[in-house]
Amino acid sequence: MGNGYFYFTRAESKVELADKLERFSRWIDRLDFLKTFNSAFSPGFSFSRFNIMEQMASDIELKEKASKLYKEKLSLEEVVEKLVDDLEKLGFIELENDIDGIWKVTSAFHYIEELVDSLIISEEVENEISE
Amino acid sequence: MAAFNNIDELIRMLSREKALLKHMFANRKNLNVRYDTARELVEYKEERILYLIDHGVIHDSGDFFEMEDVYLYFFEEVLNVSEQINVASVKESIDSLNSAIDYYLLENSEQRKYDYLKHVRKILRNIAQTTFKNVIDLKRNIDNTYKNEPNYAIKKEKLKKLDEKRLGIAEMIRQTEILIDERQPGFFKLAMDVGLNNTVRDVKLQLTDAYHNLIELDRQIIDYLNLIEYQNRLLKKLRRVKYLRDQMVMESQTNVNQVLNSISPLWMENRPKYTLKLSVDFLRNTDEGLDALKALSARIKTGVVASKRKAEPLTSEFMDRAEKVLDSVNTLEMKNAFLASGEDLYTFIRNYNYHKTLEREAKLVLFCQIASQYLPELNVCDNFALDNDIEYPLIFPA
Repeated sequence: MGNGYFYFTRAESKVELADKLERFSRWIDRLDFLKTFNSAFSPGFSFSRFNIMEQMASDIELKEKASKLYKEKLSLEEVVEKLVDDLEKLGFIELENDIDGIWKVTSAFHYIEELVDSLIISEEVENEISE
Repeated sequence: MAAFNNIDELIRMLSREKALLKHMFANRKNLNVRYDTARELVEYKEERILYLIDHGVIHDSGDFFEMEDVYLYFFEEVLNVSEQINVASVKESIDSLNSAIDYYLLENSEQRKYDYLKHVRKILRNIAQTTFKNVIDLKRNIDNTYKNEPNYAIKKEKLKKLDEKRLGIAEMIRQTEILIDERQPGFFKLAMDVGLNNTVRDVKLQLTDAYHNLIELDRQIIDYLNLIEYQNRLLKKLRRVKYLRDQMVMESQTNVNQVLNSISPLWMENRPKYTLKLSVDFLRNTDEGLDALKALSARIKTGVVASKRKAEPLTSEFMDRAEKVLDSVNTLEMKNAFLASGEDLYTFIRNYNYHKTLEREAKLVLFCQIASQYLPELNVCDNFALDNDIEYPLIFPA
């Protein structure tokens, strides 16, 4: 694509549509959480786990969204920990500084952004949705 | 309101109040230089603070101190951290350039003509210098705004303003070039000497350079604005998609099914479970195997205790004492008896009167046993004797 990232696919899929929907849906939640944390969350952005915890302390909406990210009942710190892990597993973030615990968002993050962007919403609904 | 009488005083003041000015400059963006901090930095000499206020270097705005704008701008300009881009000064320079040229053409005295010529050159150089600096400042400001401005709406506005500045600078460059080439051909033809020639050439080069940089900045600004636009659009779309998903109408109101069907990325598949077959030997015979089993049984908590099958009760038969008699030859007594006799070992063993009949085989074994057990007390000769098919060495007491 020339966007600075690659990903694997398999020709005949071994996964059902329902599963795919489920997984995609979870990533919608995570994306929403990250953009609420900081609207500048995109390739090149740096942050630390501490930043997220700080933000959650002053933003109830963020806390709310965090508690809904995972099915299991986890403490807020554990949720952030798990989220960072999931992001790293898919290659969306990279550890920039070990000592200060700073992570950087990679261009691969574009992948999930593009995926959401590629959805086409039917016309009538566009106008109905409140901002 | 006092003023500095000469440059000496000014520089002396700057040197004396180094610490305070440095601190105030560093804090110019956040308003928090309180009276106490200021006092500390002038070594608790209140007259120095009063002196500064009097000479218009700092002013007291009630809660805190601020450096006067004049000094602030001076420091920012000279240290190249200015965030102001001054296009107006270039315009003024162009005006004064025109004036200087007019005076040159009107003047008759050679000396004063020469003075005007020098003035023209100075202004030209000044224009080029200022433009150049403006371009550098502009670039820095654009980058800073894009990278550091947290609020998206403000970021966009600032970038637009910077774009206007860019146009301003470009216009100034154009005007200067027109002035040199078209507007004042008479002057430049008339007054052209080596010095002016060099100056004009240098200025033209600098302005062209600046112009190229401006084109690059134009591209950069457009790039940044596009990125901001993209992010905004994405955010809106994300919110919409999430809303639809929460309302459970995502599948019907978007083409998500279509999209997901058309792609099959690997991360969406289940993790393949590769089963390992454990080695039973490992489980049974090693310590780690035992630990693993213990941990597993603790986790599963089935509480299975291996029950030993109880055997049937013992019958009375088992309780009877049964005796078994084992016959064995006492090698010690045999040896002692042999030592007392005069024969060789083999013959002695063969002819000895045992309580029980001993096979030939057993006698041979006995011969070897005694020979090996009591070797130190025996003398093994080199002579061999024959007994049917067995050749044996003659052994006598030592």
